Amino acid sequence: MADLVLTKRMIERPDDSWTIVAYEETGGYAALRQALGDMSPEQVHEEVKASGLRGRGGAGFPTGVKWGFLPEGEFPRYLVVNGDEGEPGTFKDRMLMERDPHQLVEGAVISAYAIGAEHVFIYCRGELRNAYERLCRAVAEAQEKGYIGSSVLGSGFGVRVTVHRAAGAYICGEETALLTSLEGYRGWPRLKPPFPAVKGLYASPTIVNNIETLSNVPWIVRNGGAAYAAMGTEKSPGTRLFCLSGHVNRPGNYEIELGTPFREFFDRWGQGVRDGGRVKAFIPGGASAPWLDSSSLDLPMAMEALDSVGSMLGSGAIVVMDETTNVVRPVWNLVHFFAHESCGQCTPCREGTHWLEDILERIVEGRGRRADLDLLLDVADNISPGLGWPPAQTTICVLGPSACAPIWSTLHLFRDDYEALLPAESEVAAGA
Amino acid sequence: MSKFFEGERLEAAVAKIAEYPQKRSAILPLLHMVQDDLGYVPRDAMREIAALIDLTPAEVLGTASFYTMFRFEERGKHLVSVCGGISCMLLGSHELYRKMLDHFGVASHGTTPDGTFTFELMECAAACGGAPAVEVDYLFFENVGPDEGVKLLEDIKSRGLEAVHAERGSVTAPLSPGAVEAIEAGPSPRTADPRAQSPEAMS
Repeated sequence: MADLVLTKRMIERPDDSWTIVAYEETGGYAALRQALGDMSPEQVHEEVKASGLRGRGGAGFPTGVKWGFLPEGEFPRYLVVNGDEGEPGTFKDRMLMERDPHQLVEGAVISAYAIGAEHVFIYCRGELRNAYERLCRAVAEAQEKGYIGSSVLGSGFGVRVTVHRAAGAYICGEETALLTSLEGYRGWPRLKPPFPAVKGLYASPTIVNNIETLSNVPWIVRNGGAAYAAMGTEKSPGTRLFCLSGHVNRPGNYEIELGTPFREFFDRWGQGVRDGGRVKAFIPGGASAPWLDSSSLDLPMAMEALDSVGSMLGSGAIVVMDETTNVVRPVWNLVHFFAHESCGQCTPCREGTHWLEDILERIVEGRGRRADLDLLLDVADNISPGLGWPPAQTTICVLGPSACAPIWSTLHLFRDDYEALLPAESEVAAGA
Repeated sequence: MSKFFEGERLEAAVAKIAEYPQKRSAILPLLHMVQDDLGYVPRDAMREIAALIDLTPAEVLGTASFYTMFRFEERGKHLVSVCGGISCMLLGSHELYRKMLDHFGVASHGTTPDGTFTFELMECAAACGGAPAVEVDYLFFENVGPDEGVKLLEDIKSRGLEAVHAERGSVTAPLSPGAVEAIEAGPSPRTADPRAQSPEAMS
């Protein structure tokens, strides 16, 4: 078994892992001392590159490569930490913010040093009151101890950290929408390019990284990038927090090595499906990911493996449904979510997601028509032409295509569930 | 109505604005300051915010109205947010929500006649491992069974949110019961090194 990178402290000290005392007693801020004392910013960057760490927010982009996109010599630069966790099925960043906020703060300060950022913003989801309060306290404590300030630990490197409380808009988890929101506007995504690394917050070079991503950085500095890369698979190195929920006996967050097969994860850590049942369907990587059925249970939980079957490991959220489930209602639930969270900028998403929701609603309520199944695909195809993953899109961001993925993937795998909800032909004829 | 941002509140607002390179970034934090105190954001408070950060009131409302947390009308003493997200729904949260509404005799997103509770069915609350989840004033209660919801709220009504949350609420995301076993379980029993598996072999 690989070392635990992210959750060791919270498991060993469940009663006070979030305090500065517990953090310092368990080796906290040693990585920051090491980075500032013995390493140049370039060396820290090299270790993160060598670790192969990939973003944990959903897209899975290699972190070290992302940092490398900053234009040389342009300042000020900002580091923005994405803690707007809201992807249905995902609840890991909340745990990291609540149970180990100092690990995140240390990772963020080290990363700011590596990329030359003078100000870090931690964008925390508004509905997570406890997470926000603990983050604020951790930042204040770190400031008192000199881990944040105009000359961190007397090194001459200065950084400010601001915890920013969001206010309920899933789209702000999309990095450009997050920046627009942080600037004080409605959270509308922006066209890319320019990418945030070139023109981000206040049109300055900006790196946006997820909470879990940066929480890995202290360990990588202490143990070296190579040690991190030795865990997991070649293309998905390290450990990862997987959020398991739905019809399993033991849902929860589990830090395991990338590459473990889903079946083992469900049976061993999830303790199997409720009531001794079997898996019918599962969502392998958050609400946006195309669904899979039981024939995919032996896939390893690694980004490249999910890519190869046209889905994704996304945010690491896995929702399991047992054989008693008709998938259409949960699909409707997700599509309602995306329609509700559409920012309204792009016509195909603003209009299309509501049409999809309406059609699904009438199917769920037993008022569907046979032609609705093709109509769903037709509307979805206007939002995400070709209906595949990674998606083609007619929109600025991928929210619209994300609403389509549950529909086309379940119409392919579980068309019978849709048909079972359609009124019998005789009823239709009688009603006509 | 007297001004909201006066004295200590004004000092706190000025300090908050100074945290950002550009004043406009302080919109959400200032709106939160108002709502945390009053339970909603009155129009006059938005005018004050506009003056503090050199915007028009319309620009403040334009931003504020995008975010679902902000309310522009008075609400009940406590905000009850039942998670309607997929994992909670699979484990009965919509039925839980309905039972609460029926018990208190209010419509969805309504307020009880005595002004104690305002209800909402919220989008995924990031508590899927503790489904069904309920937030009361953004404090978590997890694994709330279909019949427990009403009891929980009656309890809060008679004994206060703080006392009930201290006993029954989740102060933090619970550690997975299996997390410790996961470390002790030792090496994963997978037969082949996943590095050896090509994408073709997986599909």
